[in-house]
Amino acid sequence: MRLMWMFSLLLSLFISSHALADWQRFSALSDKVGNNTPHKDNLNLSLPLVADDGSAVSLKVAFTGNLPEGEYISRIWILADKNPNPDVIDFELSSAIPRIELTTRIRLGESQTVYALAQSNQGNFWLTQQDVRVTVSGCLMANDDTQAETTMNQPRVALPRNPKAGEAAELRTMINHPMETGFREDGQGGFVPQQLVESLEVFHSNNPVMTVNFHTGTSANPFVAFFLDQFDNLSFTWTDQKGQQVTEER
Amino acid sequence: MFEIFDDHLQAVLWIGFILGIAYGAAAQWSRFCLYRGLVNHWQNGDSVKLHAFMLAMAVALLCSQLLQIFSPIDLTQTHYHQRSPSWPLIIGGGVLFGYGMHLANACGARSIVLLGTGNLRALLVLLVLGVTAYMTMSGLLAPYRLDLEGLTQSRLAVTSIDGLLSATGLAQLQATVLAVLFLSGSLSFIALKSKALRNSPRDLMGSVIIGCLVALGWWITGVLGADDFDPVRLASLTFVAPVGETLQYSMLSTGMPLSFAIVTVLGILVGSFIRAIFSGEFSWQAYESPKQMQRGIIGAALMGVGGVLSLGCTLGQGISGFSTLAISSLAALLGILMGARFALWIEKH
Repeated sequence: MRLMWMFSLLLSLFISSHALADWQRFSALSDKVGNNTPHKDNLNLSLPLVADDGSAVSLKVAFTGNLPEGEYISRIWILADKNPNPDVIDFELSSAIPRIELTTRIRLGESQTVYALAQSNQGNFWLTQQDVRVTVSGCLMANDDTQAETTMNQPRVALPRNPKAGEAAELRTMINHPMETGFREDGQGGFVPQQLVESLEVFHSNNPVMTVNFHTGTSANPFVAFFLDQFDNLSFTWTDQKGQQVTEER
Repeated sequence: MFEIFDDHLQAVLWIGFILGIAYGAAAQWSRFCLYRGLVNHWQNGDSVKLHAFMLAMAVALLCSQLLQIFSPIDLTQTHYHQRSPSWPLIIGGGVLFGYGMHLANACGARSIVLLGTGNLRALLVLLVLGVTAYMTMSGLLAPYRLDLEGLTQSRLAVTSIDGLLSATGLAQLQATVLAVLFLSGSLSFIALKSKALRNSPRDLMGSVIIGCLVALGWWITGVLGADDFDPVRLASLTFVAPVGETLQYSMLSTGMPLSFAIVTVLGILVGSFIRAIFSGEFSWQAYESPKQMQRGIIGAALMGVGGVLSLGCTLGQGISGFSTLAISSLAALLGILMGARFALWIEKH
């Protein structure tokens, strides 16, 4: 009996020392991290535990650590390991972002782990993950077989209620677009062709503040909320796969 | 307009909670119940409660459609207007619900009200109903539901009664007005013709208030909940899935948001409790025999399964769904009536 215990203890030690962490087996992630060891603290991901509508799961990613002078978070990727394409959304950030707290809506094809990976301009990595259970939807998908227009329309930007320069506050952006993944069947044996909004670029007085790259894992009508502390001379440009652009200025 | 609230979601939740309290108090006071109405009508020829339900349908239809005309709300965006419904499931679900309602002696909404007055039978009914509803919606029974739905779906060109009318060449607005005048008019005519209802201010007022509250529900989610970025899903009072959602929320609240459906369920409980305490009608009640309890459990399970298949309960489809002029609501209501009638017939023979 005692031998058994010791044996199983040894076995489990052996396994844990040789097994790769989950994320290392997920190539979309490990390719980005390379040989670096990501930190596991300070990066927070919040998602619902259970989502009954996998086509729009709200996601918030925040970085709470204090970085030394000159270092800032320059990239954040959101990846989902069991989506047909693991890329969900990624952010290219500049040092003009006063607070890293980004909100968006994502698509999850089934229950899986969602990863957030952040990289600083000095090459440090942070990694966090959360499991989401996606259930089949209730009786509420009334109109999902309609063919929506695949052009961008109704761009909207909401500034904070009482914006003050120098004080970080959240602003929200959204544009109407079906974000066709190319994975959806058209009912005649083929697939609805892929048609995505590719990016949102935010400028302040012509200096790039942030670029958001949307992928198949981003929900229809891409929504992004983020923090800024300057609210004048802002411009927001969405670009779709056909190369068309829509710009809003504030 | 509502500066006291942080955002539109908070406004929807608070006002929705107040709506629930109002419904709970009104329904406890007037003993609003389709099932009681049907039993009294078929067994004793006493139609007051049934007429009260019809009046509530008429008022809800009128107010909701007025709201639709004078606000940006589009009631065809609700889940009662399925593009590809499955008629066998909607009607069959209604029959199961109606039968279950007989076994459990009350429908979902009525059970919440009863629980507020200290009726522990209703607690068991609600627990079973909530769990079986979620089993059918997203749990163990969901794959079978989806398979059946896939086999029996049929595609609709129009989903609403006024849509049918306008297909004959009428303008949309004319068709809506015509449908509302005819349905609301005939329902309230039948209801108000009854002297017993006219002489019972409780039933009369109760049903008018409940009809208005349904329209208020659309206003809360559709107008207060409107937002360019994050609109609230259009909904009003309904009590199968929300009971399940409330149970789920009690277990998973750290990982799921509070919703309009949950606050209305809680509000009804509170409203009914307050009204029962103040009127001295609060009293603890429980099953007297295992036999009764078995009936309650089976009835609640049938209501949970049936209510999800038919997309709503007596209140959800019968009043809220009906007020959107959805064709599927008429089918579900028909199923519920057939189920209840069948259950009474079985018991007699």
